[in-house]
Amino acid sequence: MSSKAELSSKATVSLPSVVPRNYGLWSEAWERLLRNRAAVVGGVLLLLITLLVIFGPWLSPFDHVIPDWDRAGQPPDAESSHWFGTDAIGRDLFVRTLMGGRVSLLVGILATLVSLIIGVAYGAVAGYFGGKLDNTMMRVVDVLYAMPFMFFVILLMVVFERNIFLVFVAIGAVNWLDMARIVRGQTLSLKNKEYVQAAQAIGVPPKQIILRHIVPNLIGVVIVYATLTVPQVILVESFLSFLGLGVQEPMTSWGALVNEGAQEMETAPWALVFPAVFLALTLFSLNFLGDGLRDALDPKDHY
Amino acid sequence: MIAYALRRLLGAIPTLLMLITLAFFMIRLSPGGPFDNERTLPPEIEANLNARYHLDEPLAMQYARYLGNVLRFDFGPSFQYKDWTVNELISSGFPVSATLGLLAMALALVVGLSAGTYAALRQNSWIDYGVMTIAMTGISIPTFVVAPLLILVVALSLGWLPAGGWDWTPARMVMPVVTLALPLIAYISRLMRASLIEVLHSNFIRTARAKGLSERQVIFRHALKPAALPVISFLGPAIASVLTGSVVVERIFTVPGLGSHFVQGALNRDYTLVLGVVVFYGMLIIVLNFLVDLIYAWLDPRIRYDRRWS
Amino acid sequence: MALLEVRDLMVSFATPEGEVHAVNSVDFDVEPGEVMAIVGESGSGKSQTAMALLGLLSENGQARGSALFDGKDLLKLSQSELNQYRGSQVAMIFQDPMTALNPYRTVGSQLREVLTCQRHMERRQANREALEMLEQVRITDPERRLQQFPHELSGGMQQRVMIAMALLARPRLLIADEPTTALDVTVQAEISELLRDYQRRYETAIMLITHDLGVVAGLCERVLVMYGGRVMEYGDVRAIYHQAEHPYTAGLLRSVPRLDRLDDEELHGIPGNPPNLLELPTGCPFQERCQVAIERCSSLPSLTRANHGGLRRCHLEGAIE
Repeated sequence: MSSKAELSSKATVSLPSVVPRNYGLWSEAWERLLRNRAAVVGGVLLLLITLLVIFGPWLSPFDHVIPDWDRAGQPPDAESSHWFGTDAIGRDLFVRTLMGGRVSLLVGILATLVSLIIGVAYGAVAGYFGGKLDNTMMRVVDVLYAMPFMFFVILLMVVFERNIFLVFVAIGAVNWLDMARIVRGQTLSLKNKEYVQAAQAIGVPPKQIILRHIVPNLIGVVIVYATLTVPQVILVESFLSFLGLGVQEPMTSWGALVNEGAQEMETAPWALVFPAVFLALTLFSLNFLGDGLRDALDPKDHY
Repeated sequence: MIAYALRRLLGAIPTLLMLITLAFFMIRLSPGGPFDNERTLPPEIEANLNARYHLDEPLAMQYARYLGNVLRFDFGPSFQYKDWTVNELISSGFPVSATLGLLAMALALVVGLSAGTYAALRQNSWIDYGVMTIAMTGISIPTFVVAPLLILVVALSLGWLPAGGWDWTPARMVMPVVTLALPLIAYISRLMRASLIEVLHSNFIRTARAKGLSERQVIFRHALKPAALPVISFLGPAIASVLTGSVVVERIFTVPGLGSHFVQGALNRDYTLVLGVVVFYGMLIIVLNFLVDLIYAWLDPRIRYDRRWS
Repeated sequence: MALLEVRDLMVSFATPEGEVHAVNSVDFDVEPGEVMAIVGESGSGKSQTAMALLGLLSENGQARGSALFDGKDLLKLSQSELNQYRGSQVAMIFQDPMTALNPYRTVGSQLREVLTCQRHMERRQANREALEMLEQVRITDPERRLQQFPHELSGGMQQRVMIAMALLARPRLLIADEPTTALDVTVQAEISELLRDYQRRYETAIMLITHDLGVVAGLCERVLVMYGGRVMEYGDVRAIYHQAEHPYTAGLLRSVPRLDRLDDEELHGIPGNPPNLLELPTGCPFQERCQVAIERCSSLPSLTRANHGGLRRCHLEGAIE
């Protein structure tokens, strides 16, 4: 026993400076990410969809709101520039699908931001201060965790005016629990790191320690988790819109378009297929990218 | 074990109270009353309605009354279906939803556990990649996209199954059950694969191999049970996901379950119905989570004995 | 004939960073009934040597060379053929009993299956033998222990259970990989004593893998010192203790507290770290940490006859102080 202790204590004396610099860690993670084919495909696809959703509507001569009764229910056709066909009241589905995509992606990103801010703040505070405060805060999270989340969102939609702003606030406000738990766990382990203890020892106030030392080190896990939250949120939004409880006419989202498409799928399957494919591809890409990021940033979990 | 169960049961009480309180005040603090869409009502009728639904009492009184009623499983009358109580709507719809949910859960467990195990044992093979890609697809394609596509192909094009409706026959159950089960199958197989791979790397598996057990014995005697534990803890969220999914699935397949009533209630702003269903589902989730915890503790000896665990 | 004859054993692992050579061309014998030790720091390849013998290397690992057990080359056997040997002929005790025992099965079931799964013994008979073996490893209240789960036992108890499990089928060779490292000092002594008593009674050969020369002195007859995946010195324990002929062995010995030298002599560790197996230096693997290294050390010395009758791998002549 003593020989081992002896060996190891001596060994640390001449430990070479193998601690990699920060950018080294990130570039290593980046290389691991690039080796993951599914994640790369997901990332590229996501980029393409985003660009199309942002700039695509300008490529088409049509508007997404004005009906054209003469052309109602027209199948996809390049000649008339209705590339995805038209819906039951003659609106161009290419433009509507992309406009719906804007809403879905925007809600996904904004609601994720809301949950991220609440979750990181809550988790970092609970984890950093620990003790009784941590116990109470985590008990609250436990209790909220057991709530039927989706039903509360629906309840919120019923109670308040149905508007898009509320959709993402509602989703974000109930979706921060996972983030809080993960951040708290990370903070607990960071708190015991030497540099944080050193900062405490020289009297740096907690707020600064959290902002300067804890939060920056959470970036990896937060990026991973945020990437995996976006598809969840998009799913929730489209779920609500599908039920008619989310985005309201004339605005639209992928969920609302799938709902409209499903009602006339016998006569006009294209109205279902295009938004469905866009929605599924986006979720697919985000999930693969998120998985890839997790493996790249946390190789421990990588088998 | 009994002490553990009691402790868990006690822990569920604040959750239950929180659930009822949140739901109640969310409804009561909403802008506008429940009869807003019938604004032309004469004042005396509105007063009558308010009295019938106890809306004329102070908020605290209403809350106490509601709490008391809920604890006696009385969710009050429906706002929109004038002759129905929420209880009647629940008892007409819930058996249908529960049947679908239980079947979907069973299907998901059988398929998910086997697919995950199979993929883990053939890690990085084509089969593994295939199973995991299908699982990711299952996670990424929402229920409300899968369901119409199933109807389009299986019912409308091939004519194998009825497109919707309900009469308690297997033919009408197949598509709703499969649709509900798909995302769960995806999650469970991914979870099982990851956890089995992790377990297979653990020291006690090496010990089992060193003892001369065959690969089959190693897996069945030593690896499967610990690997299935994360799946057991996933059952709680899975139950919630089935309940949520049932809302969409019942609507698409026109199944008269509680989910259908709930959506209809939400679209009609039927406050008591929506509140009742949220509270009912919340209670259901709490009770089922409690059962899942007990199963977990029964499977994991370390939790059964460790008193500090709570 | 030796019970186990290891010749030119090589173990390597394919990693994303390149091929890691954990064990390089190692030869040794284990005679029936003898206790031999493989000694080295972590990363010396001593544990991987043992894992390779039982086919327990991780998936990216590969073993070459030969390991004749009773005339059969263990390295050439398939996993199912190996199962004829594992547990029943060659058993193994692992370092950390806490994780080496399955936390989800009772002690009894983990003991019994050694006899029931491979040798198809009847359950009741297996239970009797398990009880008897628990008594032999001096576990109190063995009846109750059989019903208990590993986490209900102390670390020392758990390691006794591991030992009982390994000995249950009366193997001819017991490989003990750091059997005492994870335990308290007092418990360490008890476990060492247990192994020694058992070995004397049943004449089981033991291959002890350890970093602790103190444990070796009390148990073993011959010792193999490894560094950077290579044999550095090999021979009789007493002779080597008396007169080490490799600077690494000498360094290890200086870091052991010894009761026979109660003078003011200080304890010294070996400065520096075990080598990076990805970039082993050509030449002597120990050269970077060796205080008496000379220019010639950049070429690998071969194993030569040592004055103590064993083997040594060093360019320098004679004893090292």
